[in-house]
Amino acid sequence: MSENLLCSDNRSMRQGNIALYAIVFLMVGIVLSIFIFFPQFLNMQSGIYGISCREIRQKIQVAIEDHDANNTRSIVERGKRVDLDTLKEKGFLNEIRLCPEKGEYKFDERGRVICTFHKSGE
Amino acid sequence: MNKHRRRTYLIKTGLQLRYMGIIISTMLLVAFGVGWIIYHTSWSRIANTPDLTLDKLSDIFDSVNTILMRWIIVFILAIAILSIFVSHKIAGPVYRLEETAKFIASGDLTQQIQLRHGDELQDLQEAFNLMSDSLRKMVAKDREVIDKLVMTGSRLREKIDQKKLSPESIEEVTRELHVVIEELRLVTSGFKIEEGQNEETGDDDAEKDGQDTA
Repeated sequence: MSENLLCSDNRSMRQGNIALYAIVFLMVGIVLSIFIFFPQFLNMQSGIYGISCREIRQKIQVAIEDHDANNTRSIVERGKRVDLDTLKEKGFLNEIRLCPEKGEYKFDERGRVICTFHKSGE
Repeated sequence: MNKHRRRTYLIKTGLQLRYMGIIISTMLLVAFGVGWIIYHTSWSRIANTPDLTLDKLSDIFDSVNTILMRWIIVFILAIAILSIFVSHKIAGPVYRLEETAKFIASGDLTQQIQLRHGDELQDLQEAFNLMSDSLRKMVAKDREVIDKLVMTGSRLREKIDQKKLSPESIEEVTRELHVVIEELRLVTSGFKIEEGQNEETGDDDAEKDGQDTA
């Protein structure tokens, strides 16, 4: 009985050696992912989404300026949502594109388009 | 602890190099695959978007990530399946060795290992079969000697029963017994059963004991 126990102990020790390497390898991978890869990915993702959002805002801004130049009534309502549907219906926007990070496009106090997620009106 | 420290790392060069090759080629294949997927998906999306503007960058980024995730899952599955086949080439022989060793330990010396073509550990299989052959031969010889011993014993019994116990006949039976015992000793003297004991010492002891018996 005790011999069997010893044998199984030895076997688990021998197997445990490989399992230990696997666990260490996995832990290193997880730690690297948590502290390096994942933050880098999120940083890169938010940067790319920021660039896209800025470009969409610029397009909307141009569309609003075109709209106001061709209409007597301005579409700008300070502090309110930008009416993208109207801009598209009237042909000032080719397509409705939203912020990749689900922000909403609104007018700020100066009448410029801002994103509720990215905030910047510039 | 130091006694078991690894000194020679390439001890089974062919086997180790083969597995090194498998690991390196798999890693290269995955690296090349993932690299090509990133390169192809991102650049093909860029090239195939006619009115490309920076606002579509997030769409390209998302689609590349989605495609990459799908392909990584495919790669993981492919490697998992491949690793089952590769590991089976070594796990199969190890399993057969374990099972055969158990049979031999239980006393069945007729067991031989037959590995499939392409399996690893073919050298170990040959060595193992050689060991089981030599054990079988030793046991056969052992039995042969025991039979002789039984026959000699029977002859001695006959002589005792027939009351033909002259000094010459006693001498003759004793000589026969001695010869058989010597044979038996020779069969077992080939085994090393103690640390530090060598074959020569075993043989010398056997001779010495034989002389004492005589």
